Amino acid sequence: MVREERKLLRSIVPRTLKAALWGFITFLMYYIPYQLLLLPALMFPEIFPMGINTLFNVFVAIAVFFAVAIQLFSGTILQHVLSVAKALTLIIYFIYAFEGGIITLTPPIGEATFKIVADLRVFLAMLILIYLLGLAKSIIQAIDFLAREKDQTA
Amino acid sequence: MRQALRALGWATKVLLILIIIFCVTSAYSAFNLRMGLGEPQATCSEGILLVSFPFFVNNSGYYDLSDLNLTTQVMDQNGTILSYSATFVPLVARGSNIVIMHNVSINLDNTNLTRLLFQDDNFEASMAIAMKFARTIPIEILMNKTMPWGAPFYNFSIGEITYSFNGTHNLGVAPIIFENHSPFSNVAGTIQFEIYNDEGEKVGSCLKSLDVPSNSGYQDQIDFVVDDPLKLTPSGQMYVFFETSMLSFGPVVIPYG
Repeated sequence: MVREERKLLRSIVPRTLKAALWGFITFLMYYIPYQLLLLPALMFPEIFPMGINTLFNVFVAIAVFFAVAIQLFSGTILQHVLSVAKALTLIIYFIYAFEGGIITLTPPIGEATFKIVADLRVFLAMLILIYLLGLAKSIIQAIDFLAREKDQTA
Repeated sequence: MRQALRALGWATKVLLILIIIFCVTSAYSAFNLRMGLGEPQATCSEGILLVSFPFFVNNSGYYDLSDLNLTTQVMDQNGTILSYSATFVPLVARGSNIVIMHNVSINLDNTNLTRLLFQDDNFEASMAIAMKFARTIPIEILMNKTMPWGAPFYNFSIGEITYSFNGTHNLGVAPIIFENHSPFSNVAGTIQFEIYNDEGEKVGSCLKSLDVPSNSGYQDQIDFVVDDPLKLTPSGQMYVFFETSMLSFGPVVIPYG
């Protein structure tokens, strides 16, 4: 009984540490470059009323959560299920963040009323395509994983 | 299976790299894109107020701007469209500069706009710049601004006509007053007055020359010879014809008495 617990502990502890490390690396990988990219936008918060900072923090949270969860369950079918969930979540996130592809900004400049409308549907479609490819890859990986499991049990 | 996975992995990576490159170069190009309107030049002739704006685009980014369309619309406070102008530029290639004149014209001879000659107003000017960035991303910039309009014959009025006899003729005298609120030009030209009695018979006429600078008032009087004193009635109508460097219009009918 104690041996089994030790065995379980031995497999869980490194996995948890690896997941935590991977989560931290993901956080740094996304947070710092995106903060630098968003610096001009963050300097003029009145131009971006949609709360670009909140949206960005949500994006980092999604990325870190899935990075940790996928690492935690690596080598199991849950790893691939979580990869599929990550792709789907990010697709929904990007559709929401890009307001369906048409972004409207209203910067207050002098007495005049300004409105900038950018149609980013092509860009959004490219982003969605990336995550759809990721989704397809995760599904194929899950099928491959199940096929191997079956081969091993047979 | 592994080959398919590898192919998908590579496709994802390549697409991601392309998107990152596009994002970075687009942001760089957007920061290096300059566009705006220069100092407007206004002229007024033959009843048409023409305001010309030099519109410049300095595209020193990596991507072309195509289908650039600049439109302006001027409306009065009642929502009546006074002017609609559009300027189209098919392509502003990367690394190039363009300067084009965007003309906004308002026809002041239009009878609906006659009141603009006598009353100040506020114009609602809206400008839209539509273009395609990198030939793929449509962008539209909309701007609305309220602009005050100064009437060139603001508060134009003719006072009470008084008659006198100078020994040879019967003379009519009436004060005239107005203010030139136009910020664009002087009111220089002539005003012709025709005075009619209450039966529609012409009593007299006169021509007045004037040169009123922008943003200043005018106060003078008109003198006219009464052709037939028997035709004089206490009331009637005065027909006023304006002939200036800006425009010619009339008659404006002003009752008196």
